[in-house]
Amino acid sequence: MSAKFVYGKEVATTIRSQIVSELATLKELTGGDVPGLGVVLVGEDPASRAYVVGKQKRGKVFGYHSVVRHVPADTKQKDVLHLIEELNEDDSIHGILVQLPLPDQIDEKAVIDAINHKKDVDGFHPRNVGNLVSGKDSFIPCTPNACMKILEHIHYDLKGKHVVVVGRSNIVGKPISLLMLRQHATVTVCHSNTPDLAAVCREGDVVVVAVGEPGLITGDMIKKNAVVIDVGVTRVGEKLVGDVDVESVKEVASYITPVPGGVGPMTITMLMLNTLQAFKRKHGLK
Amino acid sequence: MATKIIKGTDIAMGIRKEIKQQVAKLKADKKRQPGLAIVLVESPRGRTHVAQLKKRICEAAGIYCELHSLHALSSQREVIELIQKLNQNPKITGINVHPVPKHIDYHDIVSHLDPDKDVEGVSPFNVGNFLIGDKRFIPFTPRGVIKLIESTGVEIAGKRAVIVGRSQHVGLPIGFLLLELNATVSFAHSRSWYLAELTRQADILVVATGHPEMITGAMIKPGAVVIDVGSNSVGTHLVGDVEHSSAARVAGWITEVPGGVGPMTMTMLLTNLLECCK
Repeated sequence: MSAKFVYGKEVATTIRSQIVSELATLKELTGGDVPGLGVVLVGEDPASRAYVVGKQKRGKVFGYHSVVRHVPADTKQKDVLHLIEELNEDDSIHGILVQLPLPDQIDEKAVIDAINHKKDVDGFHPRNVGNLVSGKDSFIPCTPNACMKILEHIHYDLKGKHVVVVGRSNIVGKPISLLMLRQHATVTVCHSNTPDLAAVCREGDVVVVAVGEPGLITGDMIKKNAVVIDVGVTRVGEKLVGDVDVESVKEVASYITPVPGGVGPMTITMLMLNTLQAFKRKHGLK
Repeated sequence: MATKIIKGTDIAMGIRKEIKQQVAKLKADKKRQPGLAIVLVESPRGRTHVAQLKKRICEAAGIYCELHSLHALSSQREVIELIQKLNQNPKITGINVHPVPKHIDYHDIVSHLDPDKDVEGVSPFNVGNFLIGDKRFIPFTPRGVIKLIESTGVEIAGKRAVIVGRSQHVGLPIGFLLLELNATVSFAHSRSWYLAELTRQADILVVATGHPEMITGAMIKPGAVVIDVGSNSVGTHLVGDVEHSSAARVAGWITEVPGGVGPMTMTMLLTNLLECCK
């Protein structure tokens, strides 16, 4: 048996066409207003710049209003906070995103806390995280949301199933656990201190891996027919590789998301979806 | 190996004694006193009793306490106005909102709490900060549960912990605290398949479902630490979510109901109050 690959691009295409059709209706309802996304970029890190360009491009395709505030690497914290304040007050901006990581002189948490939580389309603001815990209106962080959409795409019913999450980060492992619980799955969270990772992974009907250790998960750690979602991305030489050893895992799993091409290509679409959400909320639309 | 009882009441009393001394010291050295406001929207059954008990326990520890009792039919707006007033009151260092009647949106009410006075850690801002690692205010029951587990001396790191019950203020925070302490954590609930298989793997088992005696000895790994958060009235007495008689034959450590988690919850209110005054 060989697992099916789930490509994020395909899943994203469906979601993008939903966004396009919704935008047409919304434009009429709001008298021509369009969603606006403000991005703050500090410094010249090439990867960060590439992400920002990607986000801007995608926004333009949808006809979003898009603003990038690009400042030098040595910008002071108070000046970054000032930029955030401006974007908070700008009525044409519905979503604000700060490209991470930030240079050392800037306290990341202080910057995120300063974003108006109603515009926090990354879903990193404590109020959004809190609302996520309580199941209230929030912005779901992009990567976890992408994983949920992938499961939706393959019509996977999580009710009662056992999901094993490897990695407990604030932006992936923890929010994914909450989202899976909300779908009535049983969730186990593993990490570097888990003594017998293989045994725990073998319990999983779904295994989500977000660690950043190439080849960590091998076929002998996966239950037959499990769904394996690989969130890890590590650059090895010229290539991007995931946390899953595809060669051995594909013999056991029913579905795998490849790296590159799996979860990655969806995150920008998720950001666009959250920006649309922010726009709708501002106009009092569901 | 004989099962040992985790004596919640004894541990709680020990902590209360220490708190009383620290409150006295705070008053003497810094002329400060923790002050609690309990917000209670009256409900016909029992709630007043719990609030009165809290007030007595606070006062016994030297903590100032006000009980604000609102009529059962108070509006959302009236409750919010009271909270805003308490936010401004310098005598009040912590606010504790009791469960509210159905017509009031609890989530909305607590989002008006000053995060620095949200002694129970229930406002969305503090809940979010808690999840991402800023443990300024840990909800009472979860904090008490961790203390009880620690009191056994059993190492938490590297252990398998299973939490049955995924409520926002009990199950979830207990799980995330144990995760922070490097346990491998499973969150299970009433819809989990093969629940017994999962619970039998638990070195640490925490049950908070509100289903009387749903966990039996057959579902427990020999030697496990078992914490029973449930408290259900059955006839004239209180039982937990764990069937104590069969569980106590298998577990290494186990709490009792009553006298286990309950007294710790009250005590952690005092601990949090003291901390937010420091």
